[in-house]
Amino acid sequence: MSTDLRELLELASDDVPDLDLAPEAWEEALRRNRTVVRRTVLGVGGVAAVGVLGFVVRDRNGSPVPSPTATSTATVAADGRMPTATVDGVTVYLAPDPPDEALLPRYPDAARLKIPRHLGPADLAIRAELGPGGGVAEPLRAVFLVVAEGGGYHPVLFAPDAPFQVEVPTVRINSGDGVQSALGPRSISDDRHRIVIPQPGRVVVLDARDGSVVTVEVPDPTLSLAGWARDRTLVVARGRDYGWLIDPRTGDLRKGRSAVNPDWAELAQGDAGAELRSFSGTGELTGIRLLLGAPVVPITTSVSNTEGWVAGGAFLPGAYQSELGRSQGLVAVHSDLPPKPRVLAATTGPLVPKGAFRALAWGPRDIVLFESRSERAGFQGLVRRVLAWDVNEGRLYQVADVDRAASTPGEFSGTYAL
Amino acid sequence: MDDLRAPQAPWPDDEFVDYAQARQHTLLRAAYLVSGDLRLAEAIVRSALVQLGRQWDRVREEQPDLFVRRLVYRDAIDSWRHRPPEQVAAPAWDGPDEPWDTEEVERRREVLQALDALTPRQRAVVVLRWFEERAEPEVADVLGCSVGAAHTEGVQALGLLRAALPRADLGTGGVR
Repeated sequence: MSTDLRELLELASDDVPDLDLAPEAWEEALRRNRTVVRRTVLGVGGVAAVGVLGFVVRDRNGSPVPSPTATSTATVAADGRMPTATVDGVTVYLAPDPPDEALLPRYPDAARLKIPRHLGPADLAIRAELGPGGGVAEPLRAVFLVVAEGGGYHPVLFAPDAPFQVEVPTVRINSGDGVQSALGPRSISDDRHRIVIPQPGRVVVLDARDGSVVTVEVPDPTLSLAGWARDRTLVVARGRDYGWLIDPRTGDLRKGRSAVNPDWAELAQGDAGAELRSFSGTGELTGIRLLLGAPVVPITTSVSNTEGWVAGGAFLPGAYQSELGRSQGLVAVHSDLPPKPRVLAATTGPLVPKGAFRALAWGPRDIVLFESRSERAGFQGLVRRVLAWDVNEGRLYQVADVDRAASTPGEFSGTYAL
Repeated sequence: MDDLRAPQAPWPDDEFVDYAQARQHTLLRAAYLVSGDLRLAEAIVRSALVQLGRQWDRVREEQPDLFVRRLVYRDAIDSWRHRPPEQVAAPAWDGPDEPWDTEEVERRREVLQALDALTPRQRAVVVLRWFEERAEPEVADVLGCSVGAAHTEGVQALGLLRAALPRADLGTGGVR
């Protein structure tokens, strides 16, 4: 006679107490909704607040009390459309609280992104070590750094069409303060087969197809960023004072005459304010324009695409804080248009660290993929999520949860690139 | 006059409370079976109900079951992945009020150990498929995967459970 699996599962969970969580959950839901609405009411103010949030009634003490209908319109809609505000002519999209990111709709064309719902090297069952003469023939989607035995880090290569993630112990990245910047938006080449990693005084180029490694010495002990130029050949590296243009095929090396960048464009802070800087296919500066609208302060590496969009993390000073109560986020600018940014503003609060949003790459069309970091409530460490912002339609989607970082050998360091 | 000015406690939404109370124990048991930790399960279900409450106006007329299950299973899978190793085999049981049924306790331990041999996702498929008795398309919908993937995970999980529970004759579990 066949044992019913359901009976076994019933037995295994038989002693789980019948707790009544519902009333408490309802009160907490009301409290959190009220907090969101109140913050938005205080930020946007006056007539604009009524316009965005719908009805707001006042109790007899005169303090604003949101009606139930105000709550739902202050959160991201089911189709990912975000509430907006305007600050000095700049359109600001209001990102949800970190716990509510889990409620965002999935990115509708996820299969095209080839990013799994859980992103990271934590599953040892699908990780193999690169053997002699081995390699990954399939195009890479991501590279992760894992903690190495005896200190430092190893890359782990992820190709969605390959059966395993491949750890490369022959490449050891020195540990230190700069591990977070060891990988960046242009670490993986446009052909998706080569990786470049900066180290003090050298850049390391790994070809995933055969596991070969080329090291180019660079007379700069402060190198902290390296990426593939858009010409698909050169590597562009930056140190504290200088930029370098490197041909890893020949080892040729040239110091940049001015600012260098591996991507088409970047957002950076100049003497007169935030700038949109444009670069040639070989990484050299070709133009600078000041951003329009309420000032922002770029703080993290930018990503750009061939359609002319550039995006990067930024602090939001002045009017953003006084009018919206939000102080950081992601900024996107189109380089072919007047450089007025569109802003995706992160919430504030104990769960939101500085530099919470970091641009990772552009997806199809006008979709920028970025990382949102937040403190894990009730757990140790950070929650990392990959989200997708449609800068044209003002929608926000969830793409992937990123594995938790740890410090023991073999574990994910938290550093990765798409 | 003073009574009118006094802050009022939030009025429970009867419909929400009725809905949640009718499902919370099943959700709690499911979260426990997937996460393997009673405290985590409670936190996961509480969090999911709060999220549901926040969206209640929008979700109540749509698919609240799917909404809350997606949250519970996703967080249960995620919590298992992030749980410190020492907690994996240490579910927090309060002492029993009644005398131990040693055979039942041993059987329960065997089942929990067998579940520990599965990946978090396989556990989720097993719990949805055979504890909640959901059809494969529903399992796929909750876990955000294809029906084929849900089927494959189910077959693999059943194979592992058969190996781990040799005394039980689990049959095919309805999958082939």
